[in-house]
Amino acid sequence: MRTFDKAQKYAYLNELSTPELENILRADMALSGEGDIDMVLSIMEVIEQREDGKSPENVADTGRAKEEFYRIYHTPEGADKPLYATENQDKPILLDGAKNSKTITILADSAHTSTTFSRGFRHAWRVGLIAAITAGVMLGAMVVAQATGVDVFGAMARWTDEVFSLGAIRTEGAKDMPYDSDRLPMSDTKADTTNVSYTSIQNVLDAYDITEIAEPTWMPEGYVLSDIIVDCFSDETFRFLSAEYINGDALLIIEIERYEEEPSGQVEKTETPVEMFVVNDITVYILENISNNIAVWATEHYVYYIAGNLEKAELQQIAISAIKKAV
Amino acid sequence: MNICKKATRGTALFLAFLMILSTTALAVNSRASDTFIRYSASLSLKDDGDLEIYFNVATSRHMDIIGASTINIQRYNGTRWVTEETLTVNDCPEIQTSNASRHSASITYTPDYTGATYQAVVTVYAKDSSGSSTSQTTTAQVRT
Repeated sequence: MRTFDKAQKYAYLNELSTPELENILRADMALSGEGDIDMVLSIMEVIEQREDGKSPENVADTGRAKEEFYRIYHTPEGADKPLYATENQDKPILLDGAKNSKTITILADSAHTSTTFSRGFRHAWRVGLIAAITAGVMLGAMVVAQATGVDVFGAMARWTDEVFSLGAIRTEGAKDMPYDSDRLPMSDTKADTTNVSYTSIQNVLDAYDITEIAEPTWMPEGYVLSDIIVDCFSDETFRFLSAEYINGDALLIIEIERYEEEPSGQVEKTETPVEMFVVNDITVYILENISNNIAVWATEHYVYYIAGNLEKAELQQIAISAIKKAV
Repeated sequence: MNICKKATRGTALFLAFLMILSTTALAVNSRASDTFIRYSASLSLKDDGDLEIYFNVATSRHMDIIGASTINIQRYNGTRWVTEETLTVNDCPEIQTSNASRHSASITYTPDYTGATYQAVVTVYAKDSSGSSTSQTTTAQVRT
């Protein structure tokens, strides 16, 4: 068991943020020197407590990682010895009577089956173990996040050279063709999707008691709302909103779509790398298309799109104003 | 001999030129759409057992026509997806509109089978004087 002194020694970990703690784990993984089992365990405990990891999956993952540590490293034979052999260490952990051997022998299971590792595998073993623990901790955090309502799994950003989605990629991208005179049949009937006149996005959100998202408080100069399309589910709950703003010939489109399991929206983009920034823990993705830029982000139930022939900085400003207003 | 060398060199240069051209052509084909901003399609099972196909599409400018050109309702037969029905604007006029930059529509379809897995492939479509654009998007699967 860890002593009170050791607990005191690592009390400072509580002062660090979770990403900082994860960085320490990653940095420790990259070090070639001796490891610090107590520090790693302390970090795991801090993250666990911080995330209030009470879900069965989280407890199981953490438990498995701890059990692995105790079974392999925290043994009576290894007491007071460094966790990992170092370049200057002439006395590696010897567990199977293999004293003075140039190999490290580790008990692999309770039946005393031994596995022998050459010196060259030590670092890889250590890296793999800590990577597994880090993955376990992060998975635990994601499971907790899922349980607390932030749909980490349902709104995961994916993209190709041509398409971006916060759900699955469900298209190979669009094909543009030059004009030809062959027209597809066109009906004279226009779809009746809007049967109520709304004067603003906020007007719609208020009408459906939606507070998770909000209308931007900042818009580029000159853009005027042209019209709003609102679609509902069969139970009359909000499904989709599309607002068009016009500035001369330029369009600015804001769309909000509710999703259940994962967003289905596919956004066209160029090969230009996706940019992202974080506002109030929400990651906003900025994409380039041929004639417009697009900002996309997801909340727990909605995906928010802003598109127009605007500078990325302008899109960013609109997005920030909308996200901050919703908080 | 010199003639042979020159011919070989010329052929090599010609082939290299062709390769550059084909690379350029591929690059053009793989570029993003100048027309579509985004689109989405979803399939859901209604209480009465019917399927609802919903889609929306947005373009970067006002189009003469915008919407979907076809909606293929597909059923998994155990080994592959078979198209059970293809809906066009003739069947469902509401899947297209004119002089707009966005369009959305919801179509109800009665499936032939219960206990089967369905998906819909929606071809979004937009057209103006500069040309037309299409893209296919497949919905998530639904069991009837």
